[in-house]
Amino acid sequence: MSLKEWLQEEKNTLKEKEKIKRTLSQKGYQWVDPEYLMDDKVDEKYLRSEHLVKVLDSQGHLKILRPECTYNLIDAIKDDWSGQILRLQYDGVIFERKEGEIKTQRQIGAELIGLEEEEGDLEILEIITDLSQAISGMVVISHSGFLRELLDMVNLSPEDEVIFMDALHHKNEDILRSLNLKAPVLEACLKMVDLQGYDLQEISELLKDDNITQALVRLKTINDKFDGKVSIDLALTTKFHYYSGILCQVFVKDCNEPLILGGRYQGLMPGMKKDMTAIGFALDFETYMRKVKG
Amino acid sequence: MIKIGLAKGRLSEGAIDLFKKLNMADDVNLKSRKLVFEDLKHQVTYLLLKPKDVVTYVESGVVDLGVVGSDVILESKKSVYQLCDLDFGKCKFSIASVGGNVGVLNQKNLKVATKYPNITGDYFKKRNQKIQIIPLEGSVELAPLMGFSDCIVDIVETGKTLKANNLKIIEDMFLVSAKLISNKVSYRFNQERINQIVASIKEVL
Repeated sequence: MSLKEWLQEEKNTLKEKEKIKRTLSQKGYQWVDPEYLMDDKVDEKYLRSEHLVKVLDSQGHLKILRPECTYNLIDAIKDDWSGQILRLQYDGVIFERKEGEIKTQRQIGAELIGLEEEEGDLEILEIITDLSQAISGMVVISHSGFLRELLDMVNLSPEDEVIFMDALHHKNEDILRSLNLKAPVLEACLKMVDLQGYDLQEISELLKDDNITQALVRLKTINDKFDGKVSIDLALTTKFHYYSGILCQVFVKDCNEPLILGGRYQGLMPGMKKDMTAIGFALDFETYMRKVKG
Repeated sequence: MIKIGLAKGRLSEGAIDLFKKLNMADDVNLKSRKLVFEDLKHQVTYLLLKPKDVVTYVESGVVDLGVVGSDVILESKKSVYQLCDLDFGKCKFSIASVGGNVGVLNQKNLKVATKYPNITGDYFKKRNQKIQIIPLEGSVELAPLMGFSDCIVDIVETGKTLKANNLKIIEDMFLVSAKLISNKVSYRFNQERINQIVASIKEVL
């Protein structure tokens, strides 16, 4: 690529970035710049440790280069937050260790803090569906509360829990059958990985659990509201373990990783106030640009 | 156009036999030296690939579907959907030792030669047993004969190679067979077509 072409491409990139940021600003999302470094003592429950990039600061303390922006953003505001509704947006680089190398990714994201769950979910999902329409993306939702209840119900060892989640995610019937699950739970799981699709009501009747039914009703309500713009995949999983409600991912053709990852979280980190609920998303900007350019 | 990657060798023969039963892959001739076959009538392209590469091609989305052994999928640890079992290419993973000496399994610092270090590592980890894996590319039967390892982990079909080298199975691990796999994103965008193929396969199996 010649210098002229490169400069033109950078110009186009900036234009697209500004477009997304402007859209978020118009909806009241204020731009913030979360910290790059995180404390090394982050609970592994929230961030999987095997992909983290760790560095030593000038005092010799071990730090983590942020694997996502949400954690530091919430960390920055959690002590002073007193129930107000906050709409925040960011644009930053994240770091991950993959195949022995440090990979970076530019993310543009938004966090909606303090707004009541139902309204908040809809606001963020509307932004996500608008963004995904521009690149012919497919919006898929699930509910992390559903998966958590299901995990409690199957009552497996931590090692088998990983195998179970992996089998659900990869639609692996054989492994699900090998885990000695109780008959109705196994039936529900097999329906979840069934290629012909499934009825949420059927899953709810098989699992007979109030929290699961509540999560499924919530998904159905959202699905109805968005009238075909979103689809449900109960086996949708995520690498971040802090989500507590709706999960959302956007897929685009010819791209293996979701272009947008998002969801509702409560209790993201120790010290986060109990009533501090939030929903947010992050968009992989480089992939977004590749799709925009076609 | 749906692209299907097939593992070269016996699995691709099994796969093409299966697709022919569905009245697909009419013009695919595995005896030719071609690696790409286009079935314009059914809008399917078949690619012949090395077994390990099938999973790589599927995971990266270069092909939408793949036919490959579950051994290759497990060893690769790649993230693909496993859509259905194809009921051919059946064999099993086993542990074998010289003369069938079961005692070696209780040995401390057990040395295991294998072409499948990931599968072997995971299997013994589940048993809370520390082992030393000796990764080899082929002829693993030689390792215990030469005193290089205490046992081997390998795929066993007929057991003839083991017998010829004075090795006996001391533990069967699990069964292996051909699977139809799919790229996770491709599946979402071609769900109807892929489901149709899977449903037809299930009908003839």
